[in-house]
Amino acid sequence: MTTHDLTSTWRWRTAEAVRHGWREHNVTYPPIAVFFATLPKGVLQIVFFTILGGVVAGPDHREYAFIGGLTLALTTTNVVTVISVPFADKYFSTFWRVRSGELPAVAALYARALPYLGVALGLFVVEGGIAAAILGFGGLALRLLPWLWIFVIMACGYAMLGIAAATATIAKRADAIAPNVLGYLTILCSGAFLPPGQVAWVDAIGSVLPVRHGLAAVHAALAGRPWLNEALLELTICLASAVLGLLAVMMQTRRATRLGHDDFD
Amino acid sequence: MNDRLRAATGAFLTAARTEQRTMHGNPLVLINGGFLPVALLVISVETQPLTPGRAAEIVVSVMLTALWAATIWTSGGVLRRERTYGTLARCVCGVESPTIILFGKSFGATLYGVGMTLATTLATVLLLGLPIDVAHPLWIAVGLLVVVVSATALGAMLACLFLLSQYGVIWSGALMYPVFVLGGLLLPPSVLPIWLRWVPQLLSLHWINEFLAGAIDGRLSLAPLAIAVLLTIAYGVLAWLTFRWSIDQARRKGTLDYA
Repeated sequence: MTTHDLTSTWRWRTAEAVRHGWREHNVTYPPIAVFFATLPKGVLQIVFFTILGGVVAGPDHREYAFIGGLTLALTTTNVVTVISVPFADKYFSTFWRVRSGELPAVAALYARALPYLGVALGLFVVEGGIAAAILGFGGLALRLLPWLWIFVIMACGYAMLGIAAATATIAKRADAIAPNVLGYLTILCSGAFLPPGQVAWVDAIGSVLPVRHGLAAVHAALAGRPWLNEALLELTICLASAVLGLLAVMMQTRRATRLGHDDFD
Repeated sequence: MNDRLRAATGAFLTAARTEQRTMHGNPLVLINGGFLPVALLVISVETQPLTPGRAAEIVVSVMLTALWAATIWTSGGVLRRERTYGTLARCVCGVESPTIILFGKSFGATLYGVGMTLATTLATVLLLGLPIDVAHPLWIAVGLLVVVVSATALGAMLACLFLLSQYGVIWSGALMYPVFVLGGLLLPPSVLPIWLRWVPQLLSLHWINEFLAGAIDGRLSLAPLAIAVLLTIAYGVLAWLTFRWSIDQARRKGTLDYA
C-alpha cells in the first residue's frame, strides 16, 4: 500500500466517522427538537442574561451582558450537545467497537463530534441574530461578525473540555454532572456576566477554563484595545482541552482493556 | 371510608418515599438545586453593590428561579423516569388511583429539590455575607410551605406533559428559560413588553416571590399568597386531567412502557 492509498484510507475512515456523527446527531437531536427546543432556548438565554444585566447592574451593563449571553448560548446550550458522543457509547455499549477500530478512539470521538459542533455554530448565528433583533442590538451584532473566529475557538475549547470531562467521569455515574458543572462554572467564571476583577476566586477558576480569555479578546477588540494575547491564551486552552480529551480517552481505553469489559455502570 | 383514606395516604407516602430514594442518586437535583443558585446568586449580587433590601429581593428570586429548574428536572420527570425504568404500567394499573401515585412521587421529588435549593441558597448567602434581615420569619415559613405544595402540583402537571414525547429531556431543557424570562422572578414584569406582562400572573412562583420579598422587608401582603394558592389548585386540577389524558394516549399508542 502506497502512502497515497494510506492517506486516502484514513481520510475515508475519518469521513465515515463524521457521517456517522451527523446521523447520530439527527437521531439524538431531531431537527424538529432543535428548531422548537434548542433554538428558542438559546435565544431566551441571550435575552435573559442581557435583561438581567440591566436589572442588577443598570442599563450600561446590558451590552456587556449581551455579548456574554451570546457566548453562554453558544457553549452551554449549543456546543454542550457534543457530550452526547461519549454518552451514546456508554448507553449503547459500543465503546469496544470504537477502541478496537483502525481509527484511534480519540479521532473517532472528535470526528463524530464535528457535526454537533457545526450545528451548534450554525444555531449560534441564528440565535444571535434573533436575540439582537429582539433586544435592539443589531448594530453590535454586526460589529461582532469579524470576530466570529474567536467564538469558534471558544466553541472548540468548550467542546473538547466537555468531551474530556464526560469521558473521564463516565464510569463514576458523574457523566451528567461533569458537563453541567462545566456549564455553571462557565456562567459563573467566564466573565460572561460578572466582569473580571470583582471576585478573586471566580477570576482564578475562570482563567484556566475555555471562554474567559476569548471573551476578553472580543471585548478588547470592540473597545479598540490589544486583543491578540487574550486570543492566543484562548487558543492555548483550546489545545490543552484537546490533550485532556486525548488523555481521558486513553484512560478509559486502558481501563476497558485491563478489565476486559466496557460496562461503565 | 377511613380504611380507604388510610390506604390512599399510605400509597401517597410510599410513592413519595420511593421517589426520594430515587433522588439520592439523581445528579440533576445537585445540578439544579445546588449549582444553579450559587452561579445565579454570585453573578447577580457581585456585579454591582446592592442595598440590603435589593439583596433580599434577589436572593428570593434566585431561590425560586432555581426551584423552577429543579422542578422541571425532578418532579417534572417522575413519569418519564418510570417509563425509562419500565415501571410506568405498574404505577398506573395498581389498586390505588394513579393520580395519588403521581402526586406522591411529585411531592417526594419536590421536597428534595426545595431542600437542596434552600440549603444551597442559604449557604451562599452566608458565604457572601449578604446583609439580610427577615421582618416576618413565621410568614416566610408559611410561604415555603406553599412553595412545596405549589411546586408539587406544577411538577405533576409538567410530568404529564413530558410523557407525551419521547424527547422529554430536550423539552425539559427548553422550558427553563421561558420562565426565567417571562416568569416574573429575577426579571420583574416591568421590564417585559406591555403585551407580555400578563404571563407572570399565571405562575404561582411569581406571586410567592412577591409575598416572600414582602415578608422579608416588612411590606407584608397576603393577597399574593392567596393568588398563589388558587393557582396551585388550578395546576392540581390541570395535572389530574392531563394525567388521565396522557395515560390514555400512551395506552392507545402502546408507549406506556416504551422509553
